[in-house]
Amino acid sequence: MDDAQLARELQRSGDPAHFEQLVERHRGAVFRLILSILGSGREGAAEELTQDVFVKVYRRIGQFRGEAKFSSWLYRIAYNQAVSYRSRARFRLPHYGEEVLAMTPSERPQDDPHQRATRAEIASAVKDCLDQLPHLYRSVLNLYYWMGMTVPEIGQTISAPDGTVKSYLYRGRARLQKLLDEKGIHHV
Amino acid sequence: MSELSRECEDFAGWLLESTESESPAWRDHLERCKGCRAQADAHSMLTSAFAAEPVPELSDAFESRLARRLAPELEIRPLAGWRRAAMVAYIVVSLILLGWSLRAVELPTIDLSAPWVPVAALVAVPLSLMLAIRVSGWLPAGLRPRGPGIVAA
Ligand SMILES: [Zn+2]
Repeated sequence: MDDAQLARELQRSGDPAHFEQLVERHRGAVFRLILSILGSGREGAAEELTQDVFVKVYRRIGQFRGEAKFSSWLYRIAYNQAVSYRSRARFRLPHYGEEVLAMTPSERPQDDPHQRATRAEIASAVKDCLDQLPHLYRSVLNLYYWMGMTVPEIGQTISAPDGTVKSYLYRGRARLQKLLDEKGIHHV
Repeated sequence: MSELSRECEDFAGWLLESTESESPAWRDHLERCKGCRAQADAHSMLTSAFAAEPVPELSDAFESRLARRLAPELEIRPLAGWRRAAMVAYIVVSLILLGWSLRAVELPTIDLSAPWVPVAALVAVPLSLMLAIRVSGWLPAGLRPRGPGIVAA
């Protein structure tokens, strides 16, 4: 059975076995999605939120109409849950709103530049710089590069048109590259 | 992205469909265009950074904890689908049979002023209500048991 069939069976019979299958299929992706919104080092909170998402999905399964893919519906719930948690929690890193999207990266504090980096160090620097990006850019880059979502899938998840997602990807990459340049990190 | 030249827009579109960040077709443009060079470099670094990223795992207790949280809701799961239809059919058929069989029976007359009548009603009414709720799974929304609540912020 595919996801939509499982969801319909769950709506019809309420059989928890169908719900267990849906959890089994999607728990890893939901966890990663939430972690990509919260940022690295927040695995504990991400796991709690993953639980909350599936409890919510079980309670709201009657609202799934099958117009979109089940995974899109599920990821949108997960995204909203993570963003809502993020806005309530006190985060180590500041949350940048739309109004600061126009700021140049040089207006933020930077680490020591001109370091020589190995591939692993580059990966680590990329993560650090991602964490400094405004939340929307970081989320979209994570969903695209880490979750492997397509532009339309990201659009459905964050409730934005494809053009906006492409624009966030473009601007996010540009901003990330500036931060990496300022740290002296270059593509090898 | 609206201020981009046509060529830059085409490159951005190509980057979305490609797993590579460079191609001979774009070499000339990338040599002259700093913006697209930055896009290509960021694309490469993001791709390789995430390729090296270990996939995070949920803890082993995830499923048992989720099952515990959902247990109260599963216990009162309402009958649905064919089970609900079968239950309704059973009740209807039973009532018809009961009515039909009672036609020939002379029922004893009950003295409604007898002291045991209100006592019996007090016991029978809540009992039958509880039984109906148990069988149908129906509960007013405000009385439904909930999980331990979402994680505190
Ligand atoms: Zn260009």
